[in-house]
Amino acid sequence: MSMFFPPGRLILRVVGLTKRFPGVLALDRVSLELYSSEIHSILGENGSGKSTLAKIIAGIYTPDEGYIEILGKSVKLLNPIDAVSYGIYYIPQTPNLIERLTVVENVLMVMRSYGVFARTSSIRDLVVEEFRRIGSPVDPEARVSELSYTQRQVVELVRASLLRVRVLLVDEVTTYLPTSIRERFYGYLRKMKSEGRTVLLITHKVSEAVDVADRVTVLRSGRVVRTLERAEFDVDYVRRLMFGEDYSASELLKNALSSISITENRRAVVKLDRVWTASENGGPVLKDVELSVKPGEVLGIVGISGSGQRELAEVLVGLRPVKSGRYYVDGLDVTNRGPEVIRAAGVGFISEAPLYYNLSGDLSLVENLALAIRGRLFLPLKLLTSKTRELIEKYGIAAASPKTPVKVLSGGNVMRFAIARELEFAKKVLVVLNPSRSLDERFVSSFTSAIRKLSQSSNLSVIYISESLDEVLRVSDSIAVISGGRIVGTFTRESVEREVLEKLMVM
Amino acid sequence: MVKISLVVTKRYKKSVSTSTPAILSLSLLLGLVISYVLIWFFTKLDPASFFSTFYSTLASYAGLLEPLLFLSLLGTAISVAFYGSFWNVGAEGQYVLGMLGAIYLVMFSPASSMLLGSDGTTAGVAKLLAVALGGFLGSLWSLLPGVLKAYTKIGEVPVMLLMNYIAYSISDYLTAGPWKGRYTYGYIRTDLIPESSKLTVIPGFEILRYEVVAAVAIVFIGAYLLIERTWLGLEIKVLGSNPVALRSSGRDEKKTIVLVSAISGFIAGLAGALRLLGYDYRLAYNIGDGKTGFYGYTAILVAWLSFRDLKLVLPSALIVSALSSFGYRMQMSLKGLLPPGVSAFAFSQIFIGVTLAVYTVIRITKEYSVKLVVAR
Repeated sequence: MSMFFPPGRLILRVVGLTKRFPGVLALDRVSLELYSSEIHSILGENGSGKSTLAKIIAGIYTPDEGYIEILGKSVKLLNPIDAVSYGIYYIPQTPNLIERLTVVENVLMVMRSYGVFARTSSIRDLVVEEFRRIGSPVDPEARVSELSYTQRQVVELVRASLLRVRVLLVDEVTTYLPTSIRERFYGYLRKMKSEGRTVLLITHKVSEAVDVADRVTVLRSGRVVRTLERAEFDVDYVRRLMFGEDYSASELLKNALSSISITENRRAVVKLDRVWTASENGGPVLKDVELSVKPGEVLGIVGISGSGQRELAEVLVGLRPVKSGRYYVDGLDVTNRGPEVIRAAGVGFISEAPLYYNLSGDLSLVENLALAIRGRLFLPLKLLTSKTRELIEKYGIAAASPKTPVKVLSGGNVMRFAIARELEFAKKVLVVLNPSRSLDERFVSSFTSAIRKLSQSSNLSVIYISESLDEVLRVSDSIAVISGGRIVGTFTRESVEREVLEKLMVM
Repeated sequence: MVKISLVVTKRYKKSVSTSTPAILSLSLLLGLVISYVLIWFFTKLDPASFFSTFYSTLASYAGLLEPLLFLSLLGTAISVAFYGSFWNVGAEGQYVLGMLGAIYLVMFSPASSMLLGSDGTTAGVAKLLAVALGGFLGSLWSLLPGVLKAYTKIGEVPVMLLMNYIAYSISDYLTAGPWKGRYTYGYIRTDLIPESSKLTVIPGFEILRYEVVAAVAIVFIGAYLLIERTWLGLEIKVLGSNPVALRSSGRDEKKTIVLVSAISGFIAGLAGALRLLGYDYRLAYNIGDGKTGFYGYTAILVAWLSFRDLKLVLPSALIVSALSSFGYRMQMSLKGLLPPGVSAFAFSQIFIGVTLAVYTVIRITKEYSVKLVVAR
C-alpha cells in the first residue's frame, strides 16, 4: 500500500518520557525509536513500566516530562482520538469491544470519518474484505458476545487495519491464547509488518519477544536497560537484562528441582466424587470428575484453554453448583453448601481474574485484605493496616499506601496482592487458577516455590490449574489432565513424560 | 430495519482534575444560567429579579433548615443503600410508614395513655418509642423488597415504587377510617397528637427541634461509622462494587442485601416519625398529594448527587433544599408572566431539573464516552 513507508524509515520517536503515579516512578526518561516494517518488542517484568509506555504512546496517559515525535514532528497526544488521527492504535489485553453490538457496529464505532449517524451498510463490504485479507473470516453480523477471545482480537486488528494504522500497539494480547492460536496471531502481526506498518509488542514473556520481534527493548523499573538487535537475542542474556544481574537461569532450575515428596497413605483433604456441573447455557462442562488431594500435596491440573478449568475452580470454591456427585473438604460434605461453608472449611482461592473473583477494585488494599477475614462489629483498622503494609513489603507490591484503591494498581500488582492475601489466609486448601496470565517469569517462579514451601511446611493442599505445562511440571506432586470437561489421566510427577501430557491435552 | 444504539464506554483513565464538590458547584452555576435562559424565553423575566430571588433564598437560611434536616436524614438512608447497590427509591413509603408508627404509638396504642399521663415525666420514653416504632415500620417496608431481591432476584425499584403508593393508601385508609379525628372542622384528618408528645422547639429557632437535630447528628455519624468502620459496612461496599468477590470471600450475599435494606428503611422511617412528632402533629387525608413534601423522592436526588460519599450528603441536601425553596419562591415572581395554561409550579421545577441534568451530563462524560451508532 502506498500510504506506508518503505522499510527502515523512522516513524515514531519517544524522547525522555517520565511518568509518575502516586508513590511510583513508572517511567524514568525513556527513549525509543520505531521504524516502519518492524516488530519491536517491549519486554519487562510486572511493574517495569511497559504498559505505561504503551498507554502514553496511545494517548491514554499524558507524560510528566518528555515528548513524542511522529515523522520528525513533535506531537501532543492528549487522548486516544489524537493518537488514532496520527495512525497509532492500541489493542489492550482485554479487547475493547461492545459485547452486545455486532462486529460491523464495533468497527464502525471507531470510524470517526463516517460521522455521528454513520450506517453499518456503508462499511460492511470493507470489513468482510479485510477479514478475508487477514485470513480469518468472522461473520460481520455476529454479536461480539458470541465470538471467541481470538476472534475478538482479530476484530481489533481489522479495526486497526481499516483505520490505516501506522503503529499498532499490542499489549499482552497473546497472554490468554493457547499456543497454536498464538502462532496464528503472530502471523497476523507479521502480515501487518509486511505491509509496512510498525508493531509494538508489549510482553513479559521472554520467549515471545525473542521469537517474534525484530528488535527488543528491555525495560526495568521504568528505565530502558537496552535495545537489542536480532543478532543479540539470547534468552539467558535477555532474562538477565530483564531481572537484573542477580538472576540467572540456574535459579529457575533450582526451583523446578526443589524436593518433591509424595505424601502417601494419608486421608484426602479434597475429594471430588463423580462431579458434574453445567455451563451458563445448561450444557455439561465438567463430566464425571474424580479428584483427591492429600495434605501437603500439590495437584496440578493442566489442559488447553476452555477445557473446563474455570468451572472446576468455581466448583471447588463453591461459586458454581454441582449438578450431580459429591464434594468433600476434610471429610465434610460441602456439596452445594456455598462459599460460606467451603471458605470456612479453609479453602483459599487465587484466580486468573482477581478483580472479578477476589477483590473489589473500588476499595482500598486494607479493605480488601479485611475481606479475607471474618469479624464482629468494628474493623480492627490499625491491625489490618499494619498487616497490609507487611504484605506490600513482603511481596514487593508497588502501591502508594495501604489506603490506595486496588483499581489504580497495575495488573501485575493486583495479582501479587491477591496472591499475598490468599497465601497468608488459606488454611487447608488453596485453589489456584491460571495465575501466570498477568505475572512475569520471576514472580511466577517465586510464587511456585512459595507454594511448594507452604505445601510442605503447613501441610497445605494445593490444586494448581494452569494452561502452562512448564508451570504445572514445576510445581506439582501429581498431575491430572483435563480435556473437554473430563479428567483424562492422572499421574505422579516422576511417572510421566511431557509428551504424554501434551498429547492428552489436545485429545 | 434501522437500529440505533447509544454506545457508552467507560473511559480508560478517570479524570482526576475534577473533584465531586467542583462538579457540584459547576452544575449549580450552569443550572441557574440555563434555567434563567429557559424562563426568560417564555416570560422575559428580568435577570435582576431572578437572581435577587435566588440570593434571598440563600439569605433566608432559616427557611432552608427544615428541608435540609429531613433531606439529610432521608439522603443518608438512601446513600447507605446505594453503597450496597440497593436502589432505595421507596424512602417515600418508608417515611410515611414512620409517620404511621409514631402517631399510632402516641395516640392509639395502649402505651400512649400509660406514658403520656398527666405528669408528663414519661413523655420522653413515649417519644423515643414512637420514633423507634416508626423506624421499625420503615425498616419492615424496605425489608420486603430487600428479601424479594435477595431470594427471588426481583428488582427492588418497581416493587418499591408500588409500595410507596400502598403506603399512601394505608395512611389514607387509617386517616379516613379508624383514626379519623373528632375536632377537625370538617377536614378528613386525625386529631393533633398530645401536646406532651410533640418534639421540643429550640428557643430562638422556631423551625428547629432538639430531637431532630440530635437525630441528624446521630444518624449521620452512625452511618459513617457503619460504612467506614464496621465489618457489615465493608460487606455492604463489596456487595455494591463486586458481589462475586463478596460471595467468594465466604459471605452471604443475600443476608447483606436484606440487612442493608432494613438499615436504610429504618433511617427513612425514623425521619417520618420525627416529621410527625415535630412538625405535622397529625395525618391528613390524601397524603400522596404533596403532604409529605415528597421528601422521600427528593432525597433520591441528594443521594445521587453525593453518590457513595457520605461526606457529601449534607452539602447535597443543602443544594437540593435551596433549589426547591428557590423554585417555590419563583412561583410568586412568575405569576402573570406565564402564557395561559402553563403552571407556575411546572416552572419552579426547572432549576432542579436543569441543575441535575447538567450534573448528570458532567458526571457521565467524566467517566464514560458516549457515541451513537446507527445500523441498517
